[in-house]
Amino acid sequence: MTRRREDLIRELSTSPAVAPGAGAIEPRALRWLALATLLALVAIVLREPLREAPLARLLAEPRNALAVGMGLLAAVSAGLAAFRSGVPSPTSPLRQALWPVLFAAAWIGLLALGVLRGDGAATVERSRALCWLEVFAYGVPGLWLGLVAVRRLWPLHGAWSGALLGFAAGAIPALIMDFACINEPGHSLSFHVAPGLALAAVGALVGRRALRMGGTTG
Amino acid sequence: MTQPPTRHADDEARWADWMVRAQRGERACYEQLLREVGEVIEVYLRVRFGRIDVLEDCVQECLLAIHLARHTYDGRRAFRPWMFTIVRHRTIDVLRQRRSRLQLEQSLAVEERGHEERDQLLRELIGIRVLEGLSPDHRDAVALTKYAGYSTAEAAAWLGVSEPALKARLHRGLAAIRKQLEQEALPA
Repeated sequence: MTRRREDLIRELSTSPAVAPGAGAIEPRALRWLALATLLALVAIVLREPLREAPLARLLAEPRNALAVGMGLLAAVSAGLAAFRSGVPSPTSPLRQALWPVLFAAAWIGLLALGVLRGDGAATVERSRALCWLEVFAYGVPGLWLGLVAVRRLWPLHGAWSGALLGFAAGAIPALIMDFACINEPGHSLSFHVAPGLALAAVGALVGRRALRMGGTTG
Repeated sequence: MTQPPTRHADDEARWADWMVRAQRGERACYEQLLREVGEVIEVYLRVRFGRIDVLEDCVQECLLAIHLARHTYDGRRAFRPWMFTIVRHRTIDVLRQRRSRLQLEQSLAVEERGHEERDQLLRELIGIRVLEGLSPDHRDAVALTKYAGYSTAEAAAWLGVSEPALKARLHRGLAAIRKQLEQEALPA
C-alpha cells in the first residue's frame, strides 16, 4: 500500500461518525410522498374546494376508481424508486423504474380506454380554469423537496432519479385534481396527467444537473 | 449438508459488520475496512482494466467515494454489491475525466501550434510590408542579412559593396524599420 493511500485512510477514518440512514430509505420516501400530497392538497383546496362526496362518486365508477388506484400506485412506486435510486446498487435504473412505468401505463391506459369508449364526464359540476397549470405548479414544491432529499443520498443516475421524482410529484396533484375538477377521461389525460408527465421531464433535466453526487454516468 | 463458508462470504459478513460499526463511530473498524477494501479494489481494477497508469488514483478516488456515500449503506443489505457499484462508477468517471483532460491537452497543443504558425505568418507579412517602405539599398541589406540569413561579408560580396558600407546600410535600414513600427505602434 502506498504512503498516500495510508494517509488518506487515516484521514478518512478520523472523520466524524455518520448516523446509519440507509435503512430508513423507504420511510423517508413515504414521508416525502405524504408531504408532497399535503402541499398539493392544501394548494388545490385553498384555491377552490374539492367536489362533494368525492370518494362515493369514485366508488360508483369502478373503472375510474381503478384508474385512480393505478395512478396512486404509480406515484408511490415512483417515489420509492426515486429514493432507492439514491443508494448505490447494481440494479439498473430501467429495472428500478419498472413498477412505476407499469402502473403509469395502466393508469394512462385506463383513461385512454375511457376516451376510446366515449365515456362522458362523470362530473362536470366543478370545472377549474387553468387546472393544467395548477397541476404543474403544485407539483413543483414536491419535486424540489424530493431533489433536495435525494441529493443528500448518493444518486448514480441523476436524470433517472429526477424523472422519477418529477413523475411522482406531478402525479400527486394530477390525482387530487380529479376530485376537484372535471372528472372525464379525456380531460384528465390532457389537463391533469399530461402536466404531471411534463414535470417528469423537468425532473429529468434538473436531476441531470443537480443530482451528480455519485458520478456522471447515466 | 451445509457448504463451508467461502472467502467472499467471510469478507461480506465482516465488511458489513465493520461498516455498520463505522456508521456508529468505531474508527478502528472503519480504518481496517478501508485498508482491506482498498486492497480488494486494487486487485479488482487490475483484473478489470489491466495495467492503467492511474490505478492508485482510482483506488483512492474509490475509497473517498465509499467514504462520502457511507451514510447510504444499509446494514440489512449486502455490502459487496453496494461497494462495487460505487467502485465501478467512480472508476469510469476517473477514466473519463482523464480522457477528457488528455483530449483537452491535445487540442490546446494543436491550438498553440496554430497560434505559433499564425504569429509567424503575421511576422512575415509585417516584414514584407516594412521592407517595401525602405530604399532599395537598405532593403537589400536587411533582406539578405535578416531574412535570407547571409553574413554581412557574404551580403557585401553579393551586392558588390564593402562590408562597412553594408553595415551602415543595414544600420540605417533597421533604424528606419524601427521608426516605422513605432509610428504604427506595432511590436518590433
